[in-house]
Amino acid sequence: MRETIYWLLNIVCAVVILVLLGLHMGIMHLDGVLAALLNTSGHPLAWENMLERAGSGFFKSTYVLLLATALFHGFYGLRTMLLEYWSSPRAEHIVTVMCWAAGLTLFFTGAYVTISFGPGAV
Amino acid sequence: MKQITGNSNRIGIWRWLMGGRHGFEGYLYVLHRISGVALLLFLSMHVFFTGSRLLGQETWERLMSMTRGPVFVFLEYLVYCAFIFHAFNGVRLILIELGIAVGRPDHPVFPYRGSIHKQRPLMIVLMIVTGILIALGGFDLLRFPH
Repeated sequence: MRETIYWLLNIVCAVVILVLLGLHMGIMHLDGVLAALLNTSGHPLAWENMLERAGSGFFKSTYVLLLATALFHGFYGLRTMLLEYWSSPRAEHIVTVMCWAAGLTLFFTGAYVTISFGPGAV
Repeated sequence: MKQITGNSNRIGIWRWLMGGRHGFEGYLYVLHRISGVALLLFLSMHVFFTGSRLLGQETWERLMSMTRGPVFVFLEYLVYCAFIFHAFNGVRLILIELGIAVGRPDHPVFPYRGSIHKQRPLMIVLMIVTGILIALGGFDLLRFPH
């Protein structure tokens, strides 16, 4: 049952990532094309633009959601690959605990940065 | 006769390079895994790298100036390519998982037509879209350098 829930969550996360990371990649990597099309200016990584996004509840919440879904999807995939090569009940337990530990550490670090950064924070 | 034990049906890391028995889709499987691991590594570094903005504008801008070199820009483009490929191949895998675009089951009449052949048009369309978006990213990089 646990594996079914993991698998279902993995698929749901993939769909969420597709939308949110698509948006993120568009803003960050197609900025030149989008700026030309939408007639906007400024680099997305410029300090002022980052502060502007950090002040937006929409960007903050989508960053945290993207972080959670991407980490779950990524570590679920890594766990699947590791268990293909190293599978025993003990290995499964160790790999699962390590993936959760790494994922949660990265999530809390990233979420802290996202939530605490904003106009007036630095 | 060799007895199958444990995980002896796995293809092994080196045989990833052979694409298995599934032709082009076999290579997509390999690339999907490689791009997935690369994206997870990038995400882990990205979390700590972007955390440096908490140290202030000066630290952030100093770090950003280090990322403007051609090697870093090229690596950034590889991350973009890995995401585009992983995303569109992932869409293909989800559609197949849901039973979409796999064709209807039919009688095994010679010449046999496997499920892989029925899925192939979907793969071709999605890989063309992948190629277009990767080219668009390359155009953005060359036309609008940061």
